[in-house]
Amino acid sequence: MSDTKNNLEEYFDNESSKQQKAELKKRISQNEDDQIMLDLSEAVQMKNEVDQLHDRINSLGNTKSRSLYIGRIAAAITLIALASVFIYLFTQNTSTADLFSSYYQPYDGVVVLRGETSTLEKGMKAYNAGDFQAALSFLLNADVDEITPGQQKLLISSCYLSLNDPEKSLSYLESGFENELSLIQNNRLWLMALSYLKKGDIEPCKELLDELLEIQSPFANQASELLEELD
Amino acid sequence: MKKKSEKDLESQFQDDDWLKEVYIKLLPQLEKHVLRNSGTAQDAKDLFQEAMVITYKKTKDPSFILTSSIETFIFSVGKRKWLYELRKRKEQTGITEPIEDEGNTIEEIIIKDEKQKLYLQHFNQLSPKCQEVLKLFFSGLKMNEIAKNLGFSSEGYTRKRKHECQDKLLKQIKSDPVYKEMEHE
Repeated sequence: MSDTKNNLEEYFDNESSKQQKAELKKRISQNEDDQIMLDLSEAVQMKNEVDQLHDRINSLGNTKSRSLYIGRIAAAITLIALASVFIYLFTQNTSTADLFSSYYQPYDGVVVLRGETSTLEKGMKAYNAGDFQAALSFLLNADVDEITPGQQKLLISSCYLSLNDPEKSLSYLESGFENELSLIQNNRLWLMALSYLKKGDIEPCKELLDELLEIQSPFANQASELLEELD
Repeated sequence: MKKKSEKDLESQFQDDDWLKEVYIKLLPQLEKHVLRNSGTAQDAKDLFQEAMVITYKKTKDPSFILTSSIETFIFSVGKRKWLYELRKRKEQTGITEPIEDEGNTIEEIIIKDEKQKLYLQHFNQLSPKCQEVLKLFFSGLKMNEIAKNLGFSSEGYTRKRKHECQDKLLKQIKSDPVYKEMEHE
């Protein structure tokens, strides 16, 4: 026992070289007690760092969570909203088509790609390049294991909406989102509202905008502005 | 694939933008996996945290070589960890898809992490003085320095005290049924 304890003492001694430590680590692994103490020492020494990491990850799940993602959309939409206000002041005659153009941004799909040339990767490349027709042909056949069904539907529906086909866009947004994260659900409502706007169906569009306000969605500001313009 | 150095990986975890990006990218995928396999959205959030922390701890290991992207690694850890959780809950996993990782490496990392959590629980049950002695020992102080730090009369007494604390802790851990179970895995 005393020998193995010496191993530990030597290991923790700050004067031991990296090579010595590697050798000692091997010896320590032969002894259950020493291995426990070594593993515990790592856990104790990293406790503060781990706690901080937990806190930082937790903060991502709060109201301001996903802000990178929402932020991109929000920044774009804020600029567009400002532009639309500018246009409104000068024209005083904003059509629903103009409003749609002012507010619509394709769903900012963030998808993990693993460096393989998968159907999804090809689809996302076309999507990000704005080639929605090509993106559709890939996304409709993408391997859904890589993204959630909701993400896939948002991407497809954005393609259709960008290709001026709000009917098809709506058909992909109507169901199948039950188990999705609230972020995906919010994007769905927003895209649905814009699809109705594109169709010129103002009432269902307004109902969806009201819903976004009610649930205090990240899209609430845009929804409120658009509602005012529609009124 | 270009291998990132240990320092690069470690510093990536300090980057809040990167952290958010990974959260946005991986949480929906982990949630999908968990919901399909007897879990809830909350389980997925917890799992994401665990996978991040386990990976972060692993980046501190000088012998760790990452052969895939860090996101792929985190995702694999999450999937493995969920399998481990289901086994703990004694649920039929029904998970048939192969989990791609480097042999048993991820499994080993997860078991080590579970053990460390258990060790910490027992460590926290020691008296404050015992905790101090062991913390100072882990930080590389010599016995005479620990004695000076804690106001003990001699190096001999400090050594005796450290052994007592260590023995008590080891006894507690080794008699814990969870530890015994982990040892048989």
